[in-house]
Amino acid sequence: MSKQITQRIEALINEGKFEEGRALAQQSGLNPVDMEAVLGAIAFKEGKYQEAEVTFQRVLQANPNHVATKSNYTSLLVKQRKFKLALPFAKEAFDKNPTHEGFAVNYAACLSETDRFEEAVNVLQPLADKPDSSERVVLACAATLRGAVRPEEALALLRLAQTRFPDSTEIVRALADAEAEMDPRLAAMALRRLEKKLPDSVSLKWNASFSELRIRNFRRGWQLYEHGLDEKIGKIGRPLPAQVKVFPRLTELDEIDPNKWTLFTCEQGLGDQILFLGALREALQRFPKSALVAEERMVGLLQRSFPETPVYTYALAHGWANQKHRINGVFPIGSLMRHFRGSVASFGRHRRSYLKPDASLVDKYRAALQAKAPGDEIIGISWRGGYWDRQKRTKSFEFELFAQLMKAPGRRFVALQYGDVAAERAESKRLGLPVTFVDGIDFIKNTDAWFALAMACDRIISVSTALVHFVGAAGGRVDLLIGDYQAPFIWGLDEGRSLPYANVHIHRKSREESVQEFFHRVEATL
Amino acid sequence: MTSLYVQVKERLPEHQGVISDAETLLLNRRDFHITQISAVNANLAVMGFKVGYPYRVLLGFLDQICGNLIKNDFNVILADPSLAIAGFYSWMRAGGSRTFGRVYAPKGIGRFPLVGGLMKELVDDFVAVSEVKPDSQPSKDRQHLFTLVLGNTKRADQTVFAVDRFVEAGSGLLILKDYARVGAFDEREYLESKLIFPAITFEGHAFALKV
Repeated sequence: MSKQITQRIEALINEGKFEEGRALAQQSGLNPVDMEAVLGAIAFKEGKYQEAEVTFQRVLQANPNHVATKSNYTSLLVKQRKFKLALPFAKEAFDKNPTHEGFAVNYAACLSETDRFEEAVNVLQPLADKPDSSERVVLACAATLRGAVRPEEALALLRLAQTRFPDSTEIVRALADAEAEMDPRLAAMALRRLEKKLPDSVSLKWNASFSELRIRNFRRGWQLYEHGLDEKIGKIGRPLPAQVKVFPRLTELDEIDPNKWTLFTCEQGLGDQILFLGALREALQRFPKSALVAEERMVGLLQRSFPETPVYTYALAHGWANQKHRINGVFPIGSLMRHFRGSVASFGRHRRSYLKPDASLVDKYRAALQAKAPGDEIIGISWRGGYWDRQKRTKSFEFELFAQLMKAPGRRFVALQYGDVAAERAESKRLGLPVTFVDGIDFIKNTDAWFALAMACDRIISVSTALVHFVGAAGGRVDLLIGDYQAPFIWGLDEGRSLPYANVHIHRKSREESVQEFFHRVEATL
Repeated sequence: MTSLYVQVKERLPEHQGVISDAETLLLNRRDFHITQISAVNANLAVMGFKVGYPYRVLLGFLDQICGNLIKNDFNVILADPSLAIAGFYSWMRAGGSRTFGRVYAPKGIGRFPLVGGLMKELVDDFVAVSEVKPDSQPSKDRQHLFTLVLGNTKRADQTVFAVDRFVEAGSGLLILKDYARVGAFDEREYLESKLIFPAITFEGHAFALKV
């Protein structure tokens, strides 16, 4: 392909003159493969991703070494968040030219998203450390450093970059995000300043909500938290289940017609749901003609806990899409917090248990556990939390550390960890630890049984995961273990009794102590 | 009774996913019917109704037609009480209320289970707008409206009754459940005599559309 023609076409595309770019390509006598490559690139720039993907695949079928298409295809896959698919293409491009910023950024994105943060840092750091590195590379490198749980280095890099790009709002935003891990108060201030510069940035407001909520500035925090419902935030925000998107969305109480039904709908992960449900009863008292909409595995448990209101599945609610004359709409339960938990005091006033386990199951499990270790204190444990990879890294503690808590006699531990626990089970067996791994209950699908098993324990020691919310909301005793980096906002910044649940006690590792020292400290309080 | 699936599973080749009830056995299909994402399944569950796959498929079809196509006032003719669930579901999905959508049930509507909450309101309204009497049919001023005729074909008179109601309608959809059963009387001639040439699904439902 003639370089001159390509450059002219590229210039037209960059100016958004897609039709002219297409016309020029068609007139310029390109061979069919190059022609397809150009048309695919134009479709990509136009945002016609499906068309672009098919075209790129056709080009690569005809010429597997078509460099430009490989690069474009990688960018497209990264844009579509198809990181696993993009990884081999990105690696190949990077290996051929490791100083090309675009290739490096794409490759690092693929590595980060497949939980290979350290490798991603190795890809980007040489470029980011150059005195003339671009803003894009610095931002990408800082993000990977944060992903690798190296926020101090991310901060240092960004602070240096700020001297080179003093007007960059993106750098300020990244700085605030990194700062949030080290000092949420500073982060909140930085984000407030930035918000004045970028008053229309939804993602900034969404990010800022966490800093504000973390420092207990609930009025402003919950207000900003509403931006998580914006489609622009996507999956990392507060996406409602697709089935209930057919209804009008309500977030204000005065939008509710008390003579019609209001569907309070669950949102986000199970832990968030349980936290928000703490405010549901107040809403139900005000609007008795309401129903709660939830995922199927939660229906039985929620119906038991909120007998005054019917609990329906998302799919059932979807079937009522045309019943708008009798349904106000869906009210995401996260938005209840703005109305009913606007201050620290409001949490304190409503710190009572509201989740009810299946009592017969609790009795059954308790009897079985007691029979296994008569007279022992039964302690449920969970060591891994988080949904996103980075959350997993900052929320979790190695299972081996829990072994320190198991030295004292008279304690029997029950693994309440969901997901794959084969390695921990083997380790426990090898070390002869007093841990029971329960077979026959699917902790993810059978939430009610898992919850009953947790409530059959005398207490729980857990990292920040849904388990803490479930047991806390049922009034059970939980020792919550939090690392020294950013934890979920609801746990605030301090140690001691948690804000939403009376019997959840927070143990927070300080930066000065090692994890072993932290676990020793926890052990001493048991 | 041993299920069809259990009876034949030893002889089944390698496959991914099975859909099976007393009459149906499909291999290498994912089951989107009995799942928490299915509105039909959720409604059947909350009402406590147990039905086979063919009926679920029929309800799924009605879910789309009634949920997305019917925008104006409409009629539902329940030509057989065994299709009361389909009648209720169609009326509800189309946005039925005390003032929107009428139901004609000359052969009755059967008994609906006791439910609570919003579902109770819906069932109560459905029963209230259902005209249950032998000569029940849309009045002249409603005959031009989109009319959904739900019929059964276990007996010849059932087929004839449903088809005749459809012939009277200005526009609408005729659904005959279990149309293609082996051993059923030769119903096709009667439909053809009325110039109705239905599409027949794999499960044995007949669909005819009049616009």
